[in-house]
Amino acid sequence: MKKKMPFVLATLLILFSIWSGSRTVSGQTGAIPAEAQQVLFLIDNSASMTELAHYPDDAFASRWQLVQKLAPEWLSKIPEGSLVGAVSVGGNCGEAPSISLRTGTDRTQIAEAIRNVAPNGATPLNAVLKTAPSLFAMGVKGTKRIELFSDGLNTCSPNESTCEIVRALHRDYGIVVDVVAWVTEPSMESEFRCVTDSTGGIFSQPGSTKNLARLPFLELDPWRYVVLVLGLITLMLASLVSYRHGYYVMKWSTQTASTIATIVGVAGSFALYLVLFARSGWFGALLGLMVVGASVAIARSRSDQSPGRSFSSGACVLAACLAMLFPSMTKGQTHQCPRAVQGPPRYHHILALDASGTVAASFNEMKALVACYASMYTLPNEEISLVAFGMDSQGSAREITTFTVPQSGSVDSLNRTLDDLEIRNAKQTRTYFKPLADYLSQRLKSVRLEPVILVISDGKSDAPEDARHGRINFREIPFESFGRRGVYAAPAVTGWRVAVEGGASLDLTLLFKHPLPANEKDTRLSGPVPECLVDPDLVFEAGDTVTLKPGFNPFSSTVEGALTLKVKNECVSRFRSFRAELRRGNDIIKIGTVTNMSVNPEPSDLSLPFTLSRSGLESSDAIVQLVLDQGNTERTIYATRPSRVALKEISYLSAYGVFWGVMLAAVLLLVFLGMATVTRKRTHQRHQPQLIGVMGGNAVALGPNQRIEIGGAGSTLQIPGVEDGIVLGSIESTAMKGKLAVLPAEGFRMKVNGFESTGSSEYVLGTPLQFAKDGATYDVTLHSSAGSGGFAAQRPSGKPTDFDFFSDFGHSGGAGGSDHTYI
Amino acid sequence: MKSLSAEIILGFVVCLWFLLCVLTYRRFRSAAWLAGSSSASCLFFLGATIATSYMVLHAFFLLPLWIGVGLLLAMHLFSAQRTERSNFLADAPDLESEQRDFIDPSVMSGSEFDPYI
Repeated sequence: MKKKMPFVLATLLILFSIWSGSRTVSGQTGAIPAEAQQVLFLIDNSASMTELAHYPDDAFASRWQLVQKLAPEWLSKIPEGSLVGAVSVGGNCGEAPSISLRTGTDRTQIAEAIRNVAPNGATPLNAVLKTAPSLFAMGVKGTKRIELFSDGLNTCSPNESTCEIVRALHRDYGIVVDVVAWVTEPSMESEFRCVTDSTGGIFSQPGSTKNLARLPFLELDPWRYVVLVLGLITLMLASLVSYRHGYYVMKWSTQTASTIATIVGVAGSFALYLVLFARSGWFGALLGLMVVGASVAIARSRSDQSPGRSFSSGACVLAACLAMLFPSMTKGQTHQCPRAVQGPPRYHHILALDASGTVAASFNEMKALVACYASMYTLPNEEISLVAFGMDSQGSAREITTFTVPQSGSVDSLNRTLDDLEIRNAKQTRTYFKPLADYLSQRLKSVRLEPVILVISDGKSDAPEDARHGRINFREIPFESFGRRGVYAAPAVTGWRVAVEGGASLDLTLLFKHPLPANEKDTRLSGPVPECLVDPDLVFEAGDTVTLKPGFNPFSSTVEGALTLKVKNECVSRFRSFRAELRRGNDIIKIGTVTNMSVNPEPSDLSLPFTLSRSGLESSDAIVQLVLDQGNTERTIYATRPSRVALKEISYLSAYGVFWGVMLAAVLLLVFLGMATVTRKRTHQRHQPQLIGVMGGNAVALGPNQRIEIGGAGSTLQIPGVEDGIVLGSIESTAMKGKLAVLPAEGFRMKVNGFESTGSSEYVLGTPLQFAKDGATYDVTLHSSAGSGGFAAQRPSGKPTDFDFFSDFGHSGGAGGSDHTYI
Repeated sequence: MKSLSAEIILGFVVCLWFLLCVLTYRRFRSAAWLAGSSSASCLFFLGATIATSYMVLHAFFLLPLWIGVGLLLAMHLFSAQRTERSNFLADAPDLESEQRDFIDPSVMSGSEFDPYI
């Protein structure tokens, strides 16, 4: 029994890990199928849905008509037992959706609702997606899917990335988003693909009514099952190997070896399930790692060791893996200050902590609140400044630390500083708020991100008493004046409060319940810190004209332009994010988005290039507007001047005429140069001599326009076998290399390449040439020197020419070397 | 087309992997406890699973498990080879000790002199 203890322990640990893994998966993502699948239809009913879908099998149906027609079919295809809901995405920005039916609603009611709604307005997709989790039935386990049918991206606030929003939905609620899109602009596909890829959904772009009628998620994803089958076979074989390894190498009993093999198979299969179907990749990976660690530890044990020792080491590895796994499983459940924000870095958090003696009893609570705030509301790359005030007899304020939140999001650095922070000489400290206000006003000038100021104090100033005794010479300000955003109290705390300024997009009710009601004496609206230091106004001017230039491709229907702006902040430099738009009547043309641009009090030039569809963009004028990103909200500001900018479209010829003209000239020049080069080369070749010879005979160089006789001895080109003095004919070079003009001598008949010829004929070197006279026939085949070889060349006496064909032909000559004939 | 090309590459990789596994099998088929055949077949399915995982989102989270299976196979084959070597040496007591040190296990598994290869 004692020997089996490690084995039992290891088994229990594995079973525990499997159980806890499944439990955590359920708690974290709600993704383990248990009771019902939930499907929420998000149906775009913006005005653009009235446009034709241009489907070949339904040519005159608008997108919305197709939705209305197919909705009952979609609903009927979803398996019985699934909970179905629907929400519309349309109407004016900020309005409640026309359809908002939770999952579990009767399907006929959903079909009826879709039938009774007409498309209109914009596409508040992001806002609807954010409310989507509340439309899923509470407490129902099982997969949650959103089926989004849309022909456009979000056009209302919040103007975040739709992909980021659904990623958060997937992370926090396990929601999978499928998209069925009518792609009307290029950016749509990439954004929607990001949506589906980041949630494990399916993107589809149906090209016909028949395809639109399908719901892609109901169709089987074969690859998942292929991996499952292959993985199971692999695990089965791995179990077999484990068994043999245990039995033969480790010398375990059959029972022990088969148990280990079973554990490998079962735990591996569970890891497969977690990864492929429960979408809990990290847990699957950890479980796989545990199985691996245990197997390797056991297998590495020497065979002469007892199984008990092997199991002990395996159990140790398992326990170590569990120890690593357990904190990660429980982290999310026990953390009391979970992060409540997401998105890009936005704020510089200035946390001013009263460190005077009057708050000594509550100081640890105050520090805990600061730590909790930092955990909840800071993002990587944001800045945190910890400021203490009231630390000495002057009540002065000073910065304790400033740091950038690391990529991991950890605020341990702040926590360590808070741990070290303590109140010294409590009786000598004085609390004044004016020095803090002065310090903050100065500090805010060097803050680049949007500031959020938290002042944590009991709100009791020593200034009134000290003023009476003449110890101070400034006019004190009330604590509440720091709370232009609100003064909050932490739950169950009465001794101290938190005044907050800035950070409009932060939902502080997660940390505090709600701001305390202001009393009449509060001076929150006229805070001690100038508002322009906290939330400076952005001012901009636009160029008078936006020139719209056609795209380089003459067949494209787009125009390009650049909107020039001069932007500045009211009084300090800050990073600002905004979107530039042109408004023409009800049409809004999105020009571009600027993220985290450093805007200074001095005007900065900004040029935003853009590409637009040419349709409807005839020369006109438009209003330039910037939509400021304020976290959860947006604010639109307009150019100080001009009130309207002129849009001027220039013709393709004016835009690219010079370019194409230069290009044409360059091409013509190149063609001319090429032709001149070819002509020159051909002329040069024409003037080159050809080395002509016969097999076994001599060779002569035949220059241009030169004629030589061929025949027996006495002829320039002697043909072996021809009697002395007989001239068969003459040859003359032609313009074409490798071709000669051949003329038979008087009385001779001639066949060129088998065809009888009279008079001068064209002869191709290497082909048969025959002369005949009086019954005697002479077969001659003339060759050029190249490649023929074998014939000797002769140099006749005299008649040197002004060129040297040795160099031209690269011919080294025969036995005579220099015995070549010059003509 | 993009997806199709991925499938073609996948098929190609699996075919190559199959050939490699066949070679593994031929190399180790005579090892003790049928280690060669079971390991080679497991190795093939292991490779096929990993390759197919490319087509499934997040399936590469299973890599730790597959790496472990690969390690197990390697250790199993190694142990089988070692056992085979010990058995061979036990059956050949007249070998000089220097020769024993240079015994190539593949000789004993028959891969070089096996008439069926």
